[in-house]
Amino acid sequence: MTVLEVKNLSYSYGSGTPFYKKALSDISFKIEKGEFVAIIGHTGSGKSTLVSHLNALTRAQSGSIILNGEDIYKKGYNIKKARQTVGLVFQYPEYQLFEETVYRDIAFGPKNMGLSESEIKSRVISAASALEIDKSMFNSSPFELSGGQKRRVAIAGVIAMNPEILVLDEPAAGLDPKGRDRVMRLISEYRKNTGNTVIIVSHSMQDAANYADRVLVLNEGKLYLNGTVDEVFEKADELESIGLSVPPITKILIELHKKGYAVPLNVYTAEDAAKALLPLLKKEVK
Amino acid sequence: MLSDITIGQMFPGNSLIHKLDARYKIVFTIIFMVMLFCANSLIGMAITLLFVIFIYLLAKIPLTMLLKSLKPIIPIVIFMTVFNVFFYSGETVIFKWGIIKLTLEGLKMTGVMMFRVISVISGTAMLTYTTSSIELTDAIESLMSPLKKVKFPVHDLSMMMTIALRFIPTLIEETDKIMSAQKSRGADFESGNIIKRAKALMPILIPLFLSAVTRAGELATAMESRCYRGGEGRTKMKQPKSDKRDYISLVFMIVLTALVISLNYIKF
Ligand SMILES: Nc1ncnc2c1ncn2[C@@H]1O[C@H](COP(=O)(O)OP(=O)(O)OP(=O)(O)O)[C@@H](O)[C@H]1O
Ligand SMILES: [Mg+2]
Repeated sequence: MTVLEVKNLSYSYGSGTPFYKKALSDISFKIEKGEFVAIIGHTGSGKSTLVSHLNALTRAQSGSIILNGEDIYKKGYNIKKARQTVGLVFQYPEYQLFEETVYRDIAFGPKNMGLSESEIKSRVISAASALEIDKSMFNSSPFELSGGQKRRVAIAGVIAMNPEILVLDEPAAGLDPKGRDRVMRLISEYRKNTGNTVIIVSHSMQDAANYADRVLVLNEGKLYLNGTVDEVFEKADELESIGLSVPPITKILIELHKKGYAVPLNVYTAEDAAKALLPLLKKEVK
Repeated sequence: MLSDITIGQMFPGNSLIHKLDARYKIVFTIIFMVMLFCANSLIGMAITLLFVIFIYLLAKIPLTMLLKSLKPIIPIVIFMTVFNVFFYSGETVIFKWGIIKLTLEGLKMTGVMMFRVISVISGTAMLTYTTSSIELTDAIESLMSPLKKVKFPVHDLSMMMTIALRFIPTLIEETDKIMSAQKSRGADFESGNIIKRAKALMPILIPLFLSAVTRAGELATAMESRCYRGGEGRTKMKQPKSDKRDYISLVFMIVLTALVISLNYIKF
């Protein structure tokens, strides 16, 4: 079932001024329920601009967005509904923390939805446990936390609204490798447990390959590629021509393939690569 | 959207106005104000308005930009108009209803007020449209340098202004970002009574203050680690320079102002 459809979306900043900048042009794609989609692209390719359209924060100059079968630009459409259906976590979301305690910050979204006190409490608790936020942290100030902890609290604040579609703009940016893996793993588990749709914007090809079902590639405001992980990373040369790359392990296998070795190309992790390469090594030794 | 605010934003360009010495431009702005508030005759005001349009054309700044920057003051203008038109006590009554009366003098007064507000904004906006904030503060520092003799902290003041101007766009951008983030969490800034709305601002103000304070600390550290220690012995990469165009423009401004003022005394 299609939950979200973007049709011929175009957007430019500063129309009619010397700062005119076309950020998105004629973008169309569909997202199915329960999918994990990664949006990748070079810096400035329009990823953040695109996701800010998905919950109606930015209004496109042309095109339309169909959310659960309804056009969100239609007259009389309740924008609040779009914001609850599509939960958007911004790039560096720790800037949005403001409450006195972690608990109250996570509760901010559910409270704005007008839920009952007991419902808010259960939402906060389940969102916190999804992001591995310990109950002992509930009463501390969000400003006393480390960067990685802040990040998880901010993400929990959006997850607590229980959005059907969770959109995260670079959820792992600026974290150390361990923190990155943890955030990505938690998001992936969240999707498995709830069956909700997840869209992430990422600079990391590795993350896109490891976690996503499908990859959208943006280049200079246009949708350059749209396909499964295998379909997209197969086109290593095309990706390189727009300044992107494939995961490092995949790159090695592609080079080996070019040299005439019979190796599979859709390999994205070291373990899988080892499995693919071992038989080859044995052959050589013989 | 907040990013529609254009006052204080520079429009890079290559026109005569862009090239004028910033110190002269500040002086011209002051002369322009004098001209504006002295213009009492119809022709004088017409000349002033034509002058504003002429300068915008010369600087190649789209008039749509000017209209955009005038937008925030529309409520003030409407408020003033209503008061002036209906409550100004004039002699020549055109229309009367209860305590409300429309007089010829009231209409005239309103016209003059509107002319002044619009000209003040467009005239001063021209200065910031064509001058970078660095040029501007350097120019102010240079113009105020005589005050150094009486131990007035001219350099510190201008450094403060530079930093403040530099961070206005950053703060606007940041406010925009935080607002979007809180809106995504269902925050509502538009409905409810005044107290409710003021409360709704907390989720924006707290992160904003916090990051402003953090940034101020970081900036101070960065400046100190580059050995900044006030204006003492500090030299400039770009020395302000004036040349023929500045002198000619100065003469032109003075003549124009004299003309506008003298028109007040001529009866047609
Ligand atoms: N508020 C704005 N005003 C004007 N131009 C903007 C604004 N925000 C973004 N842009 C421009 O729009 C283009 C797309 O920006 P966007 O932030 O969507 O890129 P991005 O793909 O998210 O980049 P990154 O990976 O660096 O986050 C860029 O060229 C940028 O300069
Ligand atoms: Mg971005």
